[in-house]
Amino acid sequence: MGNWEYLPTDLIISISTCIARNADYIRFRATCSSWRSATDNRPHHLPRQIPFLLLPGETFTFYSPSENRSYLIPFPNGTQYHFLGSSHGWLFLMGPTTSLFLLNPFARSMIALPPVVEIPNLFDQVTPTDVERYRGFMDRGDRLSTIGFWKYLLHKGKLCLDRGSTGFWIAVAFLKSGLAFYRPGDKSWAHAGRYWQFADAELYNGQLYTITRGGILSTIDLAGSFKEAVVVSSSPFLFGQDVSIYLVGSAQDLLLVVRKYSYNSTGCRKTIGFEVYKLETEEPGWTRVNKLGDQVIFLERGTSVSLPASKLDGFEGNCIHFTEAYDPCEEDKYKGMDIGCYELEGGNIRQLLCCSPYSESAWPGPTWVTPCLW
Amino acid sequence: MADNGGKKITLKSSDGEEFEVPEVVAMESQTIRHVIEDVCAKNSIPLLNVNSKILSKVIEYCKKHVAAAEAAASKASTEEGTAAAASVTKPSDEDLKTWDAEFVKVDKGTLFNLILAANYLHIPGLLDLTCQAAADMIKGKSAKEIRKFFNLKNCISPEEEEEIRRENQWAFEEEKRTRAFDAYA
Repeated sequence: MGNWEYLPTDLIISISTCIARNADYIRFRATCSSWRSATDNRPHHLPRQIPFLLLPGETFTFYSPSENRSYLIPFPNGTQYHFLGSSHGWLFLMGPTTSLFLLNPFARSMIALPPVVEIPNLFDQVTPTDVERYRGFMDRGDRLSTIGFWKYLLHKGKLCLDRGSTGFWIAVAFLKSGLAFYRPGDKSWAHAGRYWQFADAELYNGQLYTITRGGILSTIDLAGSFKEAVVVSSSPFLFGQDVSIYLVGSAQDLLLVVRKYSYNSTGCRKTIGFEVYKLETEEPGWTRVNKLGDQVIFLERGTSVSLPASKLDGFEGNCIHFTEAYDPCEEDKYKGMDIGCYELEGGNIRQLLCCSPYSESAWPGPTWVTPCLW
Repeated sequence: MADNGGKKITLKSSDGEEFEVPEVVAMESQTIRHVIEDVCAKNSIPLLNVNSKILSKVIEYCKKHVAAAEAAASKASTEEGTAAAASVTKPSDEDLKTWDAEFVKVDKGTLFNLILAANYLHIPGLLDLTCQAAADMIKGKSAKEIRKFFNLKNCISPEEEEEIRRENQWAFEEEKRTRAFDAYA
């Protein structure tokens, strides 16, 4: 049998560094005190972030495709909340009425944000269609009616985090008109970019970059007035083309991922391809990137990430994993489950087949999340 | 490499059994290498921490890996061009991997002793192989199952256990194998 418990410390460490999965490593350490004390609670040989597919609802279901199993974290009254995005393992939620907060289901912690109603210029650009939608909710006596209207005004939320030593973070809410920001210690939300419609924002090299739906890249001055300064005014895709765009910070570059669609006969939208660009800083502009090398991109609703495939179990590099790009203002376009993996080499898309469509919850379909485990 | 019908070394296990092996095989163990090189050649090297059963397994490993290295080296020197040599060595890499995988299919007690022996004798390849085999036995098991499998007497205090669970709640949730998704089509 062998006295496994009393192996010399360096041998316990040798075995622990052969463990390839975070969950296995955690359980390894939870067995007996000699194994626990011999090993570091921060496994440096394992990835800090693991991508999961989050299937929201009453219980958070984190599905790991490589292990083909789910991890469940209960979330009581989950359907009363509206999911605005996930970043670095924090879920940006709205609810049950107009509260906004960040929830980390892995670390079981929560950060409250000022409520929706305090966001300046929230009602700019409200269209008659939005008002109709709100009426529609009220008429149906929808129990989600209090969120039902707000979600058209605040269509996405994310947390931008400086992963370096400062730990600086800023919550960004995407509105019909501009962006709202909140930093820890602020009294309330601040506003920038009035009358612009933003697609994404990302902290990169200490700067907050934002990109509009039309592809104009700017930086936002966080120190003072939240003024925007345009960095690149030309976009690499045709204005008006039906695309979704994402800003992804990788280890080396700030990437712009352009997701292209086509429509089938039933008006259902499907992803047909991607183009990736990186920001050139000397002469600001976008250059096309044809290979991601070892990197694999996970497009999250919130903050998308680029991770090295060699550190991940069951993922290959040079790929982009995506799920349905949910925008409450375009709800009628989602009838299928547009989920899959795009290989930059060859341009093939492998669809991920999901067997349970999400019909009644206020939550959109599955989304990638990459929590930071330590 | 020339034939190694040359120098032989005798290794003596803790329970008194003697094994005569070619010196080059014995030198897979860095511990033994130091004894041979630094302490001048001895007729017989006693290994107080390794019994005969384990020592014979270790010797089997060393013999196989020395032979594989020699085969690869001689093929590379006779083949012309690096491309040809690369394609020739590849199949034997696979064979060796397969052999290694079979080699560690042993009971836990033997694996335990192999790990200790590989460590004591400083045989890096064998240590990596056996540690990986132990890590593979943990894959997918719950903490309780791991304890049972390795017969670990639970010395974690209830407070410590609670703290661990709290820090990493998600990893302790009940195993749920869902086929929510079919594989990528």
